[in-house]
Amino acid sequence: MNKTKTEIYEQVSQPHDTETERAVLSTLMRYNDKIALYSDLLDASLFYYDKEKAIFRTIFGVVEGGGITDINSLYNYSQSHDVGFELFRNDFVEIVSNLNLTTLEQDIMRLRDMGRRRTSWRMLQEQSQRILDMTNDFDEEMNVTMSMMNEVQGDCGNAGISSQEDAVQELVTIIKENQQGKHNHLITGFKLFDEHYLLRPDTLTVIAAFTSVGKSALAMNIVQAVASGGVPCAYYSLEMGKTELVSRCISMEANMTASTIMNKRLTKEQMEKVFEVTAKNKALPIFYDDRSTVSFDKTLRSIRTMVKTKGVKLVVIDYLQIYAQTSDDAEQSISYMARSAKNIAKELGIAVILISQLNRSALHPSIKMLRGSGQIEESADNIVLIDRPDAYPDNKVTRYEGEFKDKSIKNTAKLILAKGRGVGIGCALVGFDGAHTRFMELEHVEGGSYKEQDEPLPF
Amino acid sequence: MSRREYIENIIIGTLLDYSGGDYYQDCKCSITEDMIQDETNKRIFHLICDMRKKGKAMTTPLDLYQEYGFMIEDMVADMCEKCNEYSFLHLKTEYNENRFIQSLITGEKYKRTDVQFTDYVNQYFKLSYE
Repeated sequence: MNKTKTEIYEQVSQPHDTETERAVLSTLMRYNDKIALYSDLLDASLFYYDKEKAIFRTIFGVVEGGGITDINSLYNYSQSHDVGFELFRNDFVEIVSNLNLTTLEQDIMRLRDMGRRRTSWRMLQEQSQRILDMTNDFDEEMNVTMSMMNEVQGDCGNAGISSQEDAVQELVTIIKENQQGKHNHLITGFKLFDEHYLLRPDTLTVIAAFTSVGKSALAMNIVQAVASGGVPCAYYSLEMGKTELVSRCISMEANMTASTIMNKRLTKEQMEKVFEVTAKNKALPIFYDDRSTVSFDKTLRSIRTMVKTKGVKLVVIDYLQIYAQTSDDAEQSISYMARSAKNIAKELGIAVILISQLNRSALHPSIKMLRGSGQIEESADNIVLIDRPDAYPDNKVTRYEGEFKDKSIKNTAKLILAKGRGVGIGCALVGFDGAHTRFMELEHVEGGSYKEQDEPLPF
Repeated sequence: MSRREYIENIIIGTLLDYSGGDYYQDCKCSITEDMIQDETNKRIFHLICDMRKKGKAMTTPLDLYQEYGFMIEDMVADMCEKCNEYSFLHLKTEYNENRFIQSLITGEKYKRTDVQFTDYVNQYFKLSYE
């Protein structure tokens, strides 16, 4: 049987220390300026019994009103305001002598520690009852529990606040590491991403385009490049299976289309080539989740697990609108998912790529076409749009808009950095190999950077 | 020394000589340990990959020795020699300087090369699969 809250709480004596609580209250009564000094740490929840909570509220109320905290004004305040417990003059007289100014900060921190333990214990007790209730959704309850725990853990008063000196020192460390060649942004092989340092920890990058332009292909290329550097990556796909994704990885190197590898009977030479390429690629640290029945909350839970167990630094979620299809209010769920994706990037210190579709309301993509919600634009640190007119020959578009309008659209695509928090905007022209569904920097197409192909290498 | 051995030395020497460019990025996707023929080069390449996995960008002989100590004492002289004599940037600079001096002597137009390290990586890749 489920127990009531009171039954749960009364079962166990929770950590508290009445003497310390009275010492703190007495000091605050006598030294009102300490309330301002420790205002972000002081709260009624520090105190265990209702009487001490009420005394704290009274002292706080009088000080806030600009009054003096003598016994008469405190008693009058408690009579005229709802402080949660009936107080008498003797209650204030009793605590006056407990003054201890020298250890006030330690006492407050100790009360906070005990208060957080009590809060955590209560939350876990309540949540355990909810989890045992079979009518509640397990994953939702787990997510709620973890959010609550994060809240309690994060509630450290000024523990999350740093001084200018600390922040500057951290920046100096980053600069020194950059000088040594270490970098915390991920190398993708695409200049637009690398020169703007788009895939940094704590960032959410949205890759958006019309249908069948190559969003998944670009994301997969990026994952492959990052994983080749030894950085573990995770790919969450509701649309494609893992074997299809891997076949795209190896199709370029094996010089065969993905559909040939997946479906056709290969010749002996083709088999050798494929096995040679798979041997090189099989050790890449890429993890796939291609379950089609998974919810976004499950995906978030899985991401937390992957980061903790496999050390994943890059996560791709493919794609946003397909997750929203299962919800009643698609716009609201897209807002929730975009915000959650950003929150998880920040919480775990990873780079998240979220793939999104665009509404085809014009010939070329723009940021206004992000389908579903303006929250995507707000939550994302970077938004990269892919413009590939070659994918829609019926549109009869023969040129790019704006930059690169003098370049051919055949076998090329334009990557538009429509939003880059702290890095600006830009665009780049990249090559696209339709047969192998692969994007590449234009220098890497056949011909290479060394133009004098017939001349032997100089040394 | 065959052409393949020579280019292999250039690649290893360049990776050891960290002179302002991250050459490891240029060859990490193309070159694997099993492609390298010379045993010493193979060991050096393995150590460099190991260092990079640990997040250390500097892979000069000194850095490798500080990391692996007595285990690689027998290779230190070899590493220093490769670093000095086969570094890509050093060879390219020397080539261009020689061409420049030659142009001054002969009066011909000075024609420098702008060959990239990746060209040598590509050439090595082709030679490995011939």
